[in-house]
Amino acid sequence: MKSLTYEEFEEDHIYNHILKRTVTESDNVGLSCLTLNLQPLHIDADFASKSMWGQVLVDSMVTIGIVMGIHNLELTHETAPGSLSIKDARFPNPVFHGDTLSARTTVLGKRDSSTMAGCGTVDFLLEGLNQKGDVIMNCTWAKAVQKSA
Amino acid sequence: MGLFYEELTVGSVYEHAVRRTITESDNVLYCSLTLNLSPVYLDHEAAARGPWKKPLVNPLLILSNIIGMHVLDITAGTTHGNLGMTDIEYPVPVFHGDTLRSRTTVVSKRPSKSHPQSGVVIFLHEGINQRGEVIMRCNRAGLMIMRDKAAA
Repeated sequence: MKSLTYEEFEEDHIYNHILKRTVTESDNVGLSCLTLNLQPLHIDADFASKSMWGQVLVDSMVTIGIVMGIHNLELTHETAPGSLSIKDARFPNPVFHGDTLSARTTVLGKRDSSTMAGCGTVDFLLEGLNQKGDVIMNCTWAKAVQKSA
Repeated sequence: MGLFYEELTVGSVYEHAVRRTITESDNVLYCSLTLNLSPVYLDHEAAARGPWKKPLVNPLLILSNIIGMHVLDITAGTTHGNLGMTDIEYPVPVFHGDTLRSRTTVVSKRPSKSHPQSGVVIFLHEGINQRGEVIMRCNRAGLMIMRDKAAA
């Protein structure tokens, strides 16, 4: 997948990403424990069955990780020299084991200056969707993207 | 067990006991499982030519750990879930071998408008490294269970 340079991003353009990822029990329990998140909603099936969700809930940090991973791999794998992260995030709908996540990126705007040399700044809206098309995560942030050589 | 909505007091500060040295293994595993294959985190040759001269720890792994560290003290079994975060900042980069700990402040609370026996609590989570530097901070809204509901 070809990474895009700063100049190739256009305001209002929407990218519907190709990669998808089914979130499994292994992902959720493994990553929750790896990140010290011992929330019974995520790792205790008996407890979770009695919660408002009726089943284990996928840790929202797992959701962000996967959706961001898809975005970066398809758009800026070789052109984002800075550290990637988000300024804010919202989780409008829950994610459960077996849900298949996909991602959609919208370019909100761009500007020539950046804290990183040789880069411009692109403002993104990143949305994660499940297999029913529900938005399960959205976030916005400004990212340093390399300019063409 | 964590704290229910009624037990959270605005202004309380918690220094969490669970700490973690972030290893290369954590970073590679997290990046690989979440499909975030950026050379900034995984390619040591490319990272050596970059601004930090060595691989960075994925900031989403840092965010996950710092938030994870508060769970046993505050939200284990007493929350319906995470509503979202704002104002996420990373003042200092994190590298393999850094030891992180976490501090949480209760910023505000109010009953939920959409869930009758729950409340929205805003937490400030701060991550601190072995040198006492704040390496990450964010505000997070948690949907917390009211104790009366749990007793029902």
